[in-house]
Amino acid sequence: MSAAERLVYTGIYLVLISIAVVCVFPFLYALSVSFTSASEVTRRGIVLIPEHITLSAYYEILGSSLISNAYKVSLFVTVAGTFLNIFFTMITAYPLARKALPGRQVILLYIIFTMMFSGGMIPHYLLVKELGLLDSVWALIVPGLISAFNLIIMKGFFEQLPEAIDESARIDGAGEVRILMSIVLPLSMPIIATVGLFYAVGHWNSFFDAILYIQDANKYPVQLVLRNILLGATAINNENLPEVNDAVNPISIQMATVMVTTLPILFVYPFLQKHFTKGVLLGSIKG
Amino acid sequence: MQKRHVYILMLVMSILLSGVLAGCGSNKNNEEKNTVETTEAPKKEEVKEEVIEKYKISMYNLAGFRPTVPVLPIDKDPIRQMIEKAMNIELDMSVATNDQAWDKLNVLIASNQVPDLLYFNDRANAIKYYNQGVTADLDELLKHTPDLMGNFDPSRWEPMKYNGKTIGTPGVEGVGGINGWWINNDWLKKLNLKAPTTPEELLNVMKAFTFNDPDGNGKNDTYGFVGGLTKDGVLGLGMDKLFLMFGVKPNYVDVEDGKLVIHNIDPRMKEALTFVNSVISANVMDPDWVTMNVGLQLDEKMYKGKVGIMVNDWRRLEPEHVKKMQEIGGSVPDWTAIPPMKGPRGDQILDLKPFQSSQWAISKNAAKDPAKAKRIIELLQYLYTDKEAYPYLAYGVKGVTWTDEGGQAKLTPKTSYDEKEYDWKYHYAFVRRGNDAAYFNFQNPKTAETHALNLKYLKDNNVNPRLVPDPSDTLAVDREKYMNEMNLKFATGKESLSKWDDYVQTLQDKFKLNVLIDNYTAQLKNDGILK
Repeated sequence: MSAAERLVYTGIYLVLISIAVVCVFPFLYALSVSFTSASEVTRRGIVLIPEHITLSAYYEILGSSLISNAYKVSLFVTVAGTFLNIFFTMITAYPLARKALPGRQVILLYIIFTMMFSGGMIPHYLLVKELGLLDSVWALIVPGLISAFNLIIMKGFFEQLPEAIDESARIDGAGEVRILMSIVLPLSMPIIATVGLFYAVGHWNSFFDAILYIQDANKYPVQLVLRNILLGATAINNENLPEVNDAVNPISIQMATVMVTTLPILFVYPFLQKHFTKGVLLGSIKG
Repeated sequence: MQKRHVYILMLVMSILLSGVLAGCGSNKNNEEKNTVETTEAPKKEEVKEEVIEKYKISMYNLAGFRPTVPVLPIDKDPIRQMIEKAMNIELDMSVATNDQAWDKLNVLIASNQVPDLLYFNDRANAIKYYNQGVTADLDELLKHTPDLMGNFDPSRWEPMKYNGKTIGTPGVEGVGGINGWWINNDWLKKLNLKAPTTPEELLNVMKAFTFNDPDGNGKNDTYGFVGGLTKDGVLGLGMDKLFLMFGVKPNYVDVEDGKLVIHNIDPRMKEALTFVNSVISANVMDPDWVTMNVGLQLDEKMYKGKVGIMVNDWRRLEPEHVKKMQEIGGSVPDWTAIPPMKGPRGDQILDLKPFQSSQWAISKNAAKDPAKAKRIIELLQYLYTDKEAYPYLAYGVKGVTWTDEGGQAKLTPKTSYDEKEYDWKYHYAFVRRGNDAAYFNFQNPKTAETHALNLKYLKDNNVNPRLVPDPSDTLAVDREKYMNEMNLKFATGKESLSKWDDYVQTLQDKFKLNVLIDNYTAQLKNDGILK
């Protein structure tokens, strides 16, 4: 490596490291603050290394009686929801990727239309109500079972699988279901990982559907329970009420909340990363 | 090929459209069915007569002080059990936070599940839903409940009227004079200064607190004043009090000498902005003020003790806050409450009087069944006037959160029980009276003194809170934004005050201020405020 090259590389690494610092710093800050007492944060302003490490913020939020139930709900919605999402997206995308399917364009258009124009909140609510799903965790899964966007990514992936594999399987006597399950499925792991991650993150982070559809506090997902902790008492009254300022949670609790909600889903990324990049690229090229 | 695409598109569109139409159609049918059912109900009632029926009443409770805390199931909620038993009802209560409340209410209304009893935080919302036909007139119903009528001062009933009809019953009672002037008396003594009484003296004390090292640590780390901005960019958290010395308040509308006055274009506003600008440009304010928008941040400044004058809550000398001053600032300064400054025209105003804006309303659907509507209004009467129920509603669970000491209710110390587990009690505390000493439970005698001081300097406030924006006034949002922007520019010196006349002219020409004035004038004439 010549001196000039070395210089260029040093420069590149310096830029990359500084970008990494910019990305990691807020996270590190949130982590430190979550372990610091509220009064220390106020006194010191910016805390990167706490003088006294305290777990009180975590006790406070994890001690809420709703939280263990909420984790169960969130886990169920994320795991079962993602599984169902993938299953239904796949069995919809697979036939649409086959050129032999009559009326393929019309069906596709019908699906893409929903990507551009959606009914909005009130029709959604009416639908969920008529389906009898109000106050049920299924209301968090069923209405968004297939996302049009993920469907298109998946269809794109299926289209680039060589049709020759298909034909050879057919010659060996495999039916459509067999082809899908034994041939296409094992080949589709990258796209399943990608789409699965999209769905899983979506399920994990969503809270607004729970606000609308779920009344029973024991069926709240984690995001909603923690959001409520975060908001404290943002009562709606705008009159002169001394109570309004009383229940604001200090910053250490807010940061601990951020940690508790983001960490679980963050840990999924490293395991899926190698599939993830491949899947996204494949889907994007073959639209 | 092109043509085929068009056909397909049309086909898809028509399928979708037919779906939408079918949806609307069936919806209408449902509605009709429901209205038929509800109108039939009272007939059954007449046959039964006198038999006291148990009603299911749904209550959209936005009045509670902890809206993020879920409502407990009935078997775990002794207070709701008490209410249900006393009123012979099944009370289906739901709560919502500020950011979800209206979305949630709108879906409930759209899906024909309008709550029987609704809470509106202000008059604008109450009128909006009344005009949409969601809520009912209450004049006839209120004849059943004289105690409820007598429970509130007529001045709190008057704002419940709209077009001559009573559309709600008073909600939470506001408390006036919450925020007042605080000054660090140690610093005053150190610098041999007197507490300021006029704007000029105030500015001088701020300067001395900033530049003369009042804490004597040899470092230039103190500030005279701190304020903040609301999220819409209106000067607040104490900055608004600087304006009140000149008798005006940003974005406020008043009637003075029988005339409507828009404070934002009043010459006194120019004077006030000149003063605010002199405070900001003198560098006596903690530079953090530009990022401050909640009271918590102001409290942090108070605990740290590096700012000598601020406007903050009257309860800041209570033990919990004094403890934080010690922990965070390292010492407890002699924070002293002072009266507001007297302005050039003798205005000595701290704040505005509370205006009864929040209210309970009864849905039109529920009002169709007179017996049920009567029960709902009786429920309100029970909640607000029943003497035996009051301590349970306002203070919570007897023996846990409060005790009865010789006929006097007394709150137990919050450390004696798991406070978070009992936060749900605040769903019912909206009935608490604004001057209930047992409810507020102050430990420091100075707290009551401070409040009494603050209460002396409140201005009548019977105009601004009753005004409702006109939905057809398309410029309203832009106009307000422009005024806020210009106010901030004048205050910070980004725009010279010599441009004041241009600003007023632009408001009138481009932003049609007269449309707003006409709208307000009509409303005030309607309410009998303007002749």
